[in-house]
Amino acid sequence: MLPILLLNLTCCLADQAPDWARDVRPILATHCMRCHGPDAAVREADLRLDSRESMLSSGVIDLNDADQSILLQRIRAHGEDRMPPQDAGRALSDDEVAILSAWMTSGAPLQTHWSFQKIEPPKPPMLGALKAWPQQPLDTFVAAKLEQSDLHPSQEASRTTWLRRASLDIRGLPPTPEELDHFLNDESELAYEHAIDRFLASPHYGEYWASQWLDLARYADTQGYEQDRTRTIWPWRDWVIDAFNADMPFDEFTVRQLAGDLLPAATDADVLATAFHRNTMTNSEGGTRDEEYRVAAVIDRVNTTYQTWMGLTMSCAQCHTHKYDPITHEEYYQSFALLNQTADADRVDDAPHLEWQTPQQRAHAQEIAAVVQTLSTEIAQTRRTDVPSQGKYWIDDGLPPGATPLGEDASNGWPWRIGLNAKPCDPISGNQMSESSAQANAFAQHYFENSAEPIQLAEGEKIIAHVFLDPAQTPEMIMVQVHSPADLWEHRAYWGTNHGTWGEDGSPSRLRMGALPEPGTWTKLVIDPTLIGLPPGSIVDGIALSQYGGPDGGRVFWDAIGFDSDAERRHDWQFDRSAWERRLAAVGYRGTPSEVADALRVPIADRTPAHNERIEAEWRYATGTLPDTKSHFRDQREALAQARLHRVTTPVMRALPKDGYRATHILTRGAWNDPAEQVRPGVPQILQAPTAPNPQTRLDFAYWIASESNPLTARVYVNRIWESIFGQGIVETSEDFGTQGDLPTNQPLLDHLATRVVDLGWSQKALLKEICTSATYRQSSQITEDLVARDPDNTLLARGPRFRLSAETIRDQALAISGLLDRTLHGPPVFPAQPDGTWQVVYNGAQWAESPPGDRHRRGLYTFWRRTAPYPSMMTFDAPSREFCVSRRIRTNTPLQALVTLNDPVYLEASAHLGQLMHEIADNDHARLTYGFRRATGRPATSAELEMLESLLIEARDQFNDDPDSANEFVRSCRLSQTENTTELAAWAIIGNVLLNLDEVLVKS
Amino acid sequence: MSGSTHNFPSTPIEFGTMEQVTRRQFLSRVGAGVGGMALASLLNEQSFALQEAPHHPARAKRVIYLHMAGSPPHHDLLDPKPALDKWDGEKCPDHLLDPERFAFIKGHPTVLASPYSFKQHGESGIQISELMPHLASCADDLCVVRSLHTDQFNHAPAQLFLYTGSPRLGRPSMGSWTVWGLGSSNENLPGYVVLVSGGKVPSAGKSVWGNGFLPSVHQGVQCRSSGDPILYVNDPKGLPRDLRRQSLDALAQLNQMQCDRMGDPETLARVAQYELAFRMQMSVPEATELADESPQTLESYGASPGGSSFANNCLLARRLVERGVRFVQLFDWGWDTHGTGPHDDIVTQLPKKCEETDRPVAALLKDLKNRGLLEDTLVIWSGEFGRTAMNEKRNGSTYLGRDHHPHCFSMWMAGGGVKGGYVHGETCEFGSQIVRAPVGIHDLQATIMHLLGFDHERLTYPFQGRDYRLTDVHGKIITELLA
Repeated sequence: MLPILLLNLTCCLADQAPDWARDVRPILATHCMRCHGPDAAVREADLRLDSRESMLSSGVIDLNDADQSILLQRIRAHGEDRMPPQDAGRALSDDEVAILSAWMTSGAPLQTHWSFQKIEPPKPPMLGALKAWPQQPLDTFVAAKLEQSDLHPSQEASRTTWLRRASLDIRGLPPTPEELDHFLNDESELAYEHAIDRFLASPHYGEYWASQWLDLARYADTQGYEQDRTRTIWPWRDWVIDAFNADMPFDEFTVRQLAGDLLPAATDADVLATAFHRNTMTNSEGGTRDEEYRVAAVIDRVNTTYQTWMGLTMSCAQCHTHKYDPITHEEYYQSFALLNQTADADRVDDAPHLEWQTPQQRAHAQEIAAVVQTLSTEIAQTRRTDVPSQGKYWIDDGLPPGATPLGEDASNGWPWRIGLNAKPCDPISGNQMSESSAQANAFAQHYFENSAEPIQLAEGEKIIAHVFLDPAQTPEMIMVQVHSPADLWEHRAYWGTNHGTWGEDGSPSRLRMGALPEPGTWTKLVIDPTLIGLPPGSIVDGIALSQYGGPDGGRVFWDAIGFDSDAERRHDWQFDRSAWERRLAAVGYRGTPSEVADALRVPIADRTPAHNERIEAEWRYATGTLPDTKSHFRDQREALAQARLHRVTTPVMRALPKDGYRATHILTRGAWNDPAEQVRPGVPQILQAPTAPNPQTRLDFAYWIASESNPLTARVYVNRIWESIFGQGIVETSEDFGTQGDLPTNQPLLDHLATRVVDLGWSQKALLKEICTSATYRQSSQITEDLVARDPDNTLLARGPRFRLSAETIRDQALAISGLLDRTLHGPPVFPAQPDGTWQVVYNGAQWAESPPGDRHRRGLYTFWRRTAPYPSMMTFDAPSREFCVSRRIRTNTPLQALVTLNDPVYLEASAHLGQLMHEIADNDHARLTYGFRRATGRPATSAELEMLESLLIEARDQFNDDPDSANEFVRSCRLSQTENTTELAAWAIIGNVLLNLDEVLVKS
Repeated sequence: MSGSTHNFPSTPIEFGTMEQVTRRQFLSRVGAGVGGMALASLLNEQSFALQEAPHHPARAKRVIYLHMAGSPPHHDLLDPKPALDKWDGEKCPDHLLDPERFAFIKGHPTVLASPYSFKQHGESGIQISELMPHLASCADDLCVVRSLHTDQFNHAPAQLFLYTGSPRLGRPSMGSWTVWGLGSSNENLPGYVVLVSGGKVPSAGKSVWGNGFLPSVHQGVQCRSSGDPILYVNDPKGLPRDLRRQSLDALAQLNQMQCDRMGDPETLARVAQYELAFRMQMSVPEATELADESPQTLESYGASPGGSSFANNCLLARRLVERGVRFVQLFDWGWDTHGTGPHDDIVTQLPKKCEETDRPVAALLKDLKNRGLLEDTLVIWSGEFGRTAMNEKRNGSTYLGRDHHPHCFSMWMAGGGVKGGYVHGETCEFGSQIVRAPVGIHDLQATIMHLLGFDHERLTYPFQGRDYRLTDVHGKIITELLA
């Protein structure tokens, strides 16, 4: 306690007058503002001690004679007159009174709280002794502070130390021995920069920074509350990884996550980004009021938004006006109003959703599509022209072979209507025509997209369709859509008035061909496929016949659809031997060689191998392609259809329609069912330039947050990066930049970084590069006695950072060092080894089924996160349960952590694999130990360290040799499958275990 | 900053240490308040076993909380309502419906009289159901509250409310507050232990023993009935104990070399935590080994070593508090007696649950008393809410059961400074509304904290700009409950 009081005194009794924010306000806030603060509801005597006007007009301060001021008189009084009253708190100390007095004497200046002031680029300080030290502009601000404090920077860290530090800070993984060698051998000037560039380019960079973002986003794979059902929201987590890897500027990153769905021309990825705020919990317990939990979710969004981007503890204003920060109860609900207009409402299924095809799924589908394209081209080109034609058109009295009817009445098989002497018309070709009916002002269509006989369009070939519009029910639009395996349905031709949403009008994806054909007569529609994006050579395998009903509905007949060269291309049987057989049977085997015809006449069950051989040969001859190609084609196309169906359903934000907006009321004491007066959307006045328009929509709000004129966003952002790297923010309370939070230890440094990141186009990678190549960062983290005495918390940065790694990083590192780490990116969460019985969720039968090797060795951020039963070892290392936004993990140091890294099967397996690696790398213990030590710590071991390990190795070997059963059992505990040489492997697993538990490995130094 | 610790003792004795990053902040904010004192205990070697409670002398030094998860029906156990007999099977009076909302009841339900009889017991004459004959024999030690009420009627929020003071997730639990404020009194055991029976964790999951925003060292540690009693406390199979010792020695020496080089006191703290872990590896199995108990004791609880049961957990609770664990929390699943079938009705399931728990609970009270521990050990028994006076009849079920009911329920406490042989509060003839001396959840919490020596309004922790406390901004001590 003592050092802190002294610290306060030294800053206040110095020559300069006390500073309002640093010295005076904390005293008044602690002792007085609860009753004399911003909250009008509980304000006593109408006195505000956070307002100079109020203090002056009420006469409680006296600028001429502080001792005579009412403020000091009441504070110094005894008995009932004393402020604060007995039951409200202790008396102020003499030092505190002295500060108030000195402040009044200096004219009682009262500035806006530092973090609410506009960020100005600080002037570069003039340096003395440390003039030559800085490597980056940020170093000058650190140096100035060191000079003021008469401290010297530490010497530079060794290259190995620096590389491990940078690798962990940028990727959350240690450098490999090869990376170390590469760096140590790179003697160029730019070796450090190049190393940083390599780390930044690694896809593991995105994983590491995403995993930190997940705490803020309270990401979990379940909904929370009693049933805690599984929720598929990992596509958003992958979006975050990709965004970091692409170095998406932080302002864009912000806007997309808060309001991506409202962006003009929002892509699916923009909508997916909004799942940030769908990480709120959903309560599906019986009888819960959805509105209660919807309100709870919106409240969480307000709090999380302010916390994540602006470091404000908005939650205080949820029940009443903030006791300390100038944010009113009403302003809280103005922000609430901005986030209150989304369609989600605590539904069990987490609707609304996005049907999302992940980039990986898309790439997979594209790969198959390319194969299909090649195969279909091959088949279409090898068709023979000397075979008899089946009919005139591709679609005539039925669909092409293989096609499944889809659309209205698809279950009845796309109704074909026998048309002889029918009203209002007869078919124009054959005996049947297709009939389509639409409701008034509604869409209707029939289609197929999987013909087994794709058509390759020839030069100059046209698409043809015959159509008849019923004069009694004339549609407003008719449309022919053409499907190709390459780019699906993006080929549309329409006649009449534009209706519908697919494609872009005026482009090949939606092209108007002219007016509606005249009703009451058959019209031949001719489409030049090149106009709708199908140049010669394109493959066509599906057609949709669509209409949009007029005021009386729509009735449309279609017939004779195909290509103007159709007469030459009827080959359904090319793809299907049984169709070919049926076809030959239908014509009574005319023109078929007699022995083939004889074989075909034998019932299938009775055919001999000789029969089949003959039939097969004839079919191959007739079709001209190997059946293999065709069956492959069919398989591939099936796979393609499957791949295109693969989508994940992720909850996202969707704006309500304007006319469905909810009215937002102030909620009395934050109670969802106790609304008071209605409020308009807006943001707290203190954060808003007087002339600036108040945000009215969620998108406005997002832009307002991401604006460089927002005094908090950039500061909070760079502070969090600094915290990640140096272990503590420049503002230690990274979760609270308000008046109750800590003051920055070096505001010019913070403001430099905040302005710098904006200058760098909000590029995190660029900022990280400057930080990691700075002289500040490159210092050794050795802690001298002098430093312990003078700056124990390293707030002045006279040395490099040294602190324990995070839960995920400790795990990832152990897997990486042991060579077990599976570096696969993205995808559904995985289930590494977890003790039995961790999941026992009421009314939810979900079981933890361990993933196979590979998946069970993925990075920690992919581990399935159940809110009511989070992964135990992560919790032991201070991971939060992800129920709410957490800005800062409090690091602890406990024996339970030791038990995890000593005995958790994950770490045992890693220990044994590291042991095995050591054992295999060389044939003598010295070399093996040297290798293992370096692999674990990055540096060569000293001879004392090697001796220590060697004697342990000998001891372990002796014990296991004496007791080979234990060795076998231990090796099995470590999940090694080896059954030979187990005493040796067991001994090496012991060494691996010690290495992974070294303090030097568990900390970043 | 780094996690370095300038003033950290070189041989820390606390079960876990917080790093400087929060310590400094606490000290500057909490000042000489209780947090500061607890912190001081973390920093100061010798004040480890903080026997003196921080705000006033404690009546209870430790707590055993027996939670019947799912919530037992008060009408059938602790709050006799003979008036229900004449209404049995009739449509309930309208005032019981308005403005009521039920979890599962639909339409106009009928009244369900208790099938069980009540008798007066002990000198105090407290009425207790025939389903709990053993508990009845302890009547004069019980402080029964019949007028507890909550404002949550779903399991998870109600359990959270009871243990964290808020129905939402994310706040520290009562046990975490307690160990944060008091520290542990056995350096080799966690201060806050959770024991689960009935095959399920409670509805709100591990959040009911979560540390919330308090340092994670204060979270409840689940002591499991199978596998490692505490996660990873057992060495892997095949690892000889003395080899573990030798490898920890090697590790300690390697870390010492590292400390000599880098000068980081936190390295020494880590060495000490590994030593503590090694000692826990012995003390935890010792504390949890029920086979050490005499056959008579095992018999009295109905406990069987090696098994997994509520009875075992009661006996385990006694062993743990005996060894200085501050807060032992038992959860027993299976009390959610809706009556959708024999597995959750009041005719088959409820007697079964009572049979499983009645004897061990009484044995625990008597055992504590015989050992002189009941005096300063607070034993609490409750569910998370009450149940309706009406038969639920979900989907026309013919089994008898009761729906959730937040407006009143019964609980009892014993030992640790509460008044024995006393009944507090009263409900209406339907056991539906409180007519006298209501006790809110925050009041109960304030009272428990008081017994532990805390002023609930001063046991606070700064988080997100606000001083949070277990009782939020509510809670008054129910002095009538105090001995």
